[in-house]
Amino acid sequence: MGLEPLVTGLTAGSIYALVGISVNVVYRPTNIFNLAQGNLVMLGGLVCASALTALALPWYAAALLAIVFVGLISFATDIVAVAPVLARPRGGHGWLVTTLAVGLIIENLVGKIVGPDPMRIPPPPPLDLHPFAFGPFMINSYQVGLIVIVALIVVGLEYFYATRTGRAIMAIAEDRDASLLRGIDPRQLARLSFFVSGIVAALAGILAGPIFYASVGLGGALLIRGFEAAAVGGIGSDRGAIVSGLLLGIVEAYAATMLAPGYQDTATLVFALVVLLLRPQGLMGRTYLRAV
Amino acid sequence: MSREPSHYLLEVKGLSSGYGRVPVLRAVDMSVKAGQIVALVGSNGAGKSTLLKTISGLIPKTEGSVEWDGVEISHRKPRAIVNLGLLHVAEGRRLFRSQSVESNLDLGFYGAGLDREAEMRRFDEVLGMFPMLAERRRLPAGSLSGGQQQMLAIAQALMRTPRLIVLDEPSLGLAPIIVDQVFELLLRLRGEGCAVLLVEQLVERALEIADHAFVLQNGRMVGSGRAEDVRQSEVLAQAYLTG
Amino acid sequence: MADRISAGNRPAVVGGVILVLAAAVILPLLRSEYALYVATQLCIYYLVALGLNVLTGYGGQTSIGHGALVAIGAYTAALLMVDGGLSFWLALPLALTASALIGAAMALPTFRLSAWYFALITLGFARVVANILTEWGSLTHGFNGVVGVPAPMIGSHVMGDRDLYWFGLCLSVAAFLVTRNLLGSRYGLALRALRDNPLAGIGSGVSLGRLKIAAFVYSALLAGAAGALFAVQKTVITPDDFTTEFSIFFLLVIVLGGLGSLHGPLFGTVAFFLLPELMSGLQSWRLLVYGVLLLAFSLYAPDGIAGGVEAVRRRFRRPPVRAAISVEEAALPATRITGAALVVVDAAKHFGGVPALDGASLDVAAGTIHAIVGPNGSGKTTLLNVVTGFYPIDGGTITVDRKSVVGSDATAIARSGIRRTFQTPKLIPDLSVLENVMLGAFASERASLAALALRTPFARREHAELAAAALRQLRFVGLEARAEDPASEIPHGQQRLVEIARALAGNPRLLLLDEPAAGLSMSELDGLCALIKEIAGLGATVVIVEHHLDLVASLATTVSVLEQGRVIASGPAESVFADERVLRAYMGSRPIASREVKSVA
Repeated sequence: MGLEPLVTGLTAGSIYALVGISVNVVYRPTNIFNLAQGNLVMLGGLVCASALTALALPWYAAALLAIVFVGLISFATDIVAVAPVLARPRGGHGWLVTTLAVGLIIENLVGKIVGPDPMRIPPPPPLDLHPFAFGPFMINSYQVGLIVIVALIVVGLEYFYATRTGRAIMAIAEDRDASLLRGIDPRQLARLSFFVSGIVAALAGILAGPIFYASVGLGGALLIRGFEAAAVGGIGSDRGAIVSGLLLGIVEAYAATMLAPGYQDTATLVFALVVLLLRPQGLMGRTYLRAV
Repeated sequence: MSREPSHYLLEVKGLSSGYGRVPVLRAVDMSVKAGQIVALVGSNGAGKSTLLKTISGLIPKTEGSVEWDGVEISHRKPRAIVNLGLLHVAEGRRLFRSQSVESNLDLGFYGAGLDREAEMRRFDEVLGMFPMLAERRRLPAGSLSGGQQQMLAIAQALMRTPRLIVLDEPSLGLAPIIVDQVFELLLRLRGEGCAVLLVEQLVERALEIADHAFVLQNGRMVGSGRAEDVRQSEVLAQAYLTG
Repeated sequence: MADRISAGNRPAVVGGVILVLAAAVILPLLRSEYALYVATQLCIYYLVALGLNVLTGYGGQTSIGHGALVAIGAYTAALLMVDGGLSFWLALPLALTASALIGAAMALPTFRLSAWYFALITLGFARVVANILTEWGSLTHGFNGVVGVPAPMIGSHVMGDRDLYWFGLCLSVAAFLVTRNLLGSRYGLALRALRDNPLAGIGSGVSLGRLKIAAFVYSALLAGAAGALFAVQKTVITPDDFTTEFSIFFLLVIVLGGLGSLHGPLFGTVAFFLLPELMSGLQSWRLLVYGVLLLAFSLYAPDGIAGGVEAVRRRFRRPPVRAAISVEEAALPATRITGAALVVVDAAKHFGGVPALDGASLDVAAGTIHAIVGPNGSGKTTLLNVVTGFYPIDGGTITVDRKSVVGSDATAIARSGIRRTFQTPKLIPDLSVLENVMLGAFASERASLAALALRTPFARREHAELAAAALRQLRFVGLEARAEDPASEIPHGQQRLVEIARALAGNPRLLLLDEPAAGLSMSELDGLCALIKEIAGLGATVVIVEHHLDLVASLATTVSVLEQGRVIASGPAESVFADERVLRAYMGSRPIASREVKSVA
């Protein structure tokens, strides 16, 4: 069995961490979870792949196109499916169904256009898939680069959340009324967050290309992984998302070798449930006091 | 003492509002002139906080009007009202406790559209008024004492150089010495041309520093006048001790 | 939307039912195999939708994993019949058991996790089941699925397509009747409380956790039955039949039909099956159309087709005749209550280091009216919340009739005869005023689930008695005339009274009112005052948290004044209000030696 699954797991786990992070970005100002998130990831990969093949764009141009496009789709999701529901006086969880519907629409629309065949996306140049030995492991520069990129994205986000706009978003999450009184507009920052979340999701889809292959069916699996990563890490905590994303990747990889590839979803769900039932706020989440 | 200005900065006419279907305020009239300290007093549940929140745009009105410089603002969003120079320091020292003192102060500039230089100047100015906050710049706001938090909340509002600052029960839970400091600060603000609308439990003290006062009882305005006069009046005693 | 059949509408409803049944009966005679197939599938989907509507539509717990429960029912039945050689009639109950158990297991996370976590877990669960069906080949036959599921036999007669259809139809009708009975019982009220105002449910003694599991298991049973029928109809079932989309179809059905409406599942299922007919050329766009419909209906037609039907009906119908409740029963005088004594000693409660209660003590004699007053932030509502179990206490003791209630949760305390109202009235908007009051009697009903499901004479009689009792409570608070109105339409002051009536429906020995005077007009205040005196007159102990000192002075036997989490004065109203410490706490005067403290008239 050895340590191979560890490498595979960490690689896939980095992607899961990214998806979880994109979930957190939306959650902070809105307290909701976009059920179309997995499909946004998938969309990022497919648009990039299509741009690379059909439009013959260079890698970074194709990636940029995909990122902006998905950012806009995510932004549109807020306006069409989330904001109207949150504005309703009686609140509730209507956004679960509306974002689910958006996900269904995206998946099937894209499926019609692109077809079911998975499309290859090469790693960002200059990274590649040539294996080399690193101690007891066989890895490639893409895998190393991936973890670095994810770390950089988290650092980038932490910078963002240290700016005034970013801190305003954190302020909304902490005390909505107080932020209103200081001239902060939660709706505007929510829209911005959806856009940023789309960007991170697209990045996940593009960077996942070499291991997952961009395909329509990816959306559903990544939705669940993204939820698991965010929830187990402690929703709202990006560092938690990294830790739990990597753990999930490892659990999944070992389940594939020890049991069978078909049991990956089962293994990660059981793992997530065990953690959540023991610690509902997640590994690095904070317990919030609730007032009646 | 500054010369009495002639027009109203804030004027509330016949205002009714409440929470959902709970009517709280009924046809309330109130006004604040530029450069005044106005006290709003009344027993608990009278609707004082509701009135402030309606003025700030957190709660929609059901009837009546709120005018700023003669312009109707009752339908505007909270951030538009902040942009006008009406800053509300909420009850309970609502700060962003997980963020640093400096971050909280900086958020006071959110949406103000000032350039970097103007911001830095104002920042130093305000911090100069609150030396104990300057010492604790980097600390999380939640680690400050009650009195320091109250000062921080006011300082945060001051970043915008408001024309009217509205305070909801600033003395709650504070030691008398700190309350003294807060009230001194309010006098100083008036001296610098900022009007103050003050809701206070410590009626006597509020009436001591105020120019004008309004008395709210069960959602209605039952008395108003110069702070002196209101202090002596029967209306006040009635409002507090017989509900 | 409330599904009450008022007398004035009965002809229309009966007519509708006859039409539907006629269509259902005529169908097999059409000799179209295809129609028969679709009609049986319709029954299958209807069963699932019926259950899901109970859980998601009425109970507000969104599940995106019910397809997996159908799969479990289908595979259990199929495997038992094909591999185990069991007859259908043995396999069916076992399939139901399997799906009920899995359903219960799926519901467990709801105890610790929030509702939307739960929805995603059901989605994850659906994927897991799909995977296991494929992977665990030795049990489930993997990709190939289970082939050759035999048709059920009645005696020596092999059931044909038409027989299966009749069976499905009978199941559907039976399931509908049971569901209707349960939704019309106290469980229907409790489910809507779970969805719209959980605190109202807790305060009426409803155990929300058990309710969630029960709703889940019920919907799982129906899904399992649907699955078993699915297996014998199709005779071949493979993992491909149970994709994640399958689960989403059922959500679509209930959203189309109308969440939380009794006939929603029927409308939704029919609409869902008509769609492919309408889209003949666009079959491959099916899923896309479903997504668009799901989005459009959720956003713009949240009440679904049933809501549309209701709106049309309301325009054409005659004013409803009030359901007949025996006038003599309603006229019976309210029963005497034995009030409870409440003693609190040194209650302490912190929120993140801030002490809300710092050693507060109370001594309330049985059958008296006790008021708790104090400035903002003094801890009044916190005290009420710890007594009623909504917050756990950090220190001190609370005893009711000398029995400690510390450590009991709010539901248990409500069930023991301690009821409360809230600062803002928490009514269930879609229910009528009378139904809201009946929620208060949830813990008093004796009829078991089975009795309610079958609507036995005992259950019916008990229901009528409780309705009459609720009407009495409404008469007691003066709102009898509004009994049939939806709670969302009555003004605030009256909502306050309905909440009190609901609390009274629980026959409380101790009634706690949280700022009942807030937002009331002068005349409403007089009414409230008289009402509270009458309640105390019946013997109940009443504790009021109030700001309105006028009201308190005219009502209360004794008063406690709270300040910063402690009781600073306690005793009869006149002496407390003359107490200098109280004056200072309220008006915040600095103790100044040189000034006379004004005495109050």
